[in-house]
Amino acid sequence: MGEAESKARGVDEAAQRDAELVARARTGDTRALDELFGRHRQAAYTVAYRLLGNAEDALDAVQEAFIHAMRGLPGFRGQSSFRTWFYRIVTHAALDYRRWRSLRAAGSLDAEGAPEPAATGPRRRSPPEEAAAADLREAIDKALANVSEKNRAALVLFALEGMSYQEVADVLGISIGTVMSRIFNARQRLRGLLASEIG
Amino acid sequence: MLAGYADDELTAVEREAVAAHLEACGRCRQLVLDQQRLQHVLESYTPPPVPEERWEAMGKRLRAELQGTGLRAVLKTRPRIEALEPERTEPPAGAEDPTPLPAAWLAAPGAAAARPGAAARPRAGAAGLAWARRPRFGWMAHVAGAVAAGFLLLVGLLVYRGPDEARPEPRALALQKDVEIMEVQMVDPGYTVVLMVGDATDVAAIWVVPTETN
Repeated sequence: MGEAESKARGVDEAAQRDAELVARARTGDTRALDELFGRHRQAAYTVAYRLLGNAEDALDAVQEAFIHAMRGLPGFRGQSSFRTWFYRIVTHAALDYRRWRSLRAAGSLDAEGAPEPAATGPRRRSPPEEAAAADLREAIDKALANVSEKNRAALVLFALEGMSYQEVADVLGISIGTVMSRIFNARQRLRGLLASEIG
Repeated sequence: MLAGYADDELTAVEREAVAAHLEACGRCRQLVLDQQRLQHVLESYTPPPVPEERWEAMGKRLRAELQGTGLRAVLKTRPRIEALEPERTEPPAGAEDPTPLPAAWLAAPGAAAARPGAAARPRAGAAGLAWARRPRFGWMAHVAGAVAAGFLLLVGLLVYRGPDEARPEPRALALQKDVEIMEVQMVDPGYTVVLMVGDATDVAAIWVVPTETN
């Protein structure tokens, strides 16, 4: 079996497992919920982090995404896979969080009742062995912040291992051609911004 | 296409076409290399690790949400997903919602006010509530229905000429008017489309008649 076929089979099995867990979680099965959470939390965090550039904000957005998903499970019709549906929620939650954060920073919102802002101060120093990785991460964070939201979302989703152009298209509700174009433009923009980092 | 080629996301035909182009275009070859290099950098770009206790705390919160045992979370964001919530306008605070929603979609009391940007709305009195809940477009629906019924009645009267009035048979009419006719079998073999073609290429009339069975 070729690599592509093996990958496709893995995706199908994962989707089937997700569907079983969703059906059980709908009945209030907390163990099914725990497993769904465990299966998708890291990928959700990675997507949110790449969109927000801040770990605390990313965790907030992930929590909100999971809560939205829990509340929306009764309305989930299974027309797309759980993964596609959930990543759509995560993407929108992260982008909405980003806008909310920008508005709050601009003082447009009534602060009464608003939750405390996530820590956005200087990053704590990493252990020496992670210094180089942390520097690159910071450079990429800054560069990604200068990529348009639409292009960034497409690129971030694709950069997750296993997400194809078709899946990205399904999550964002756009055509594959548009996915291709946005990813190309995002990487070209990053290429210019990270020239000194990657050579 | 170059991004798709770099990511091996093209069909075989597309890949072959791009490969042929790349053989002759050095600029595009460099663009593909740039795309692949950036992709490699991004794949190695990982966020800071999350302590397990943070995940456990989040998991407890979700379990409480699912079981309804904890306080319902006040969320900062509202993802625009139709599968989660239908589009609806929020009634004034304190107003009884005439459209019952599934329990899972109902926010905790006060949660709407806690959403960023949500301004508190003035409470409406009883008269105001009744006015706000009036069926605004009910009379228009009745008028539209009456107009539609009248139109259908008129069409029916025009089409129905009564059993005594003979309807001109299209082929006979074609002979009288000296026009060509073409017969095209419809998907349903029981019916045939008869096209009466006049001068040039204009179609003068179209009839759908039962197919003559021999």
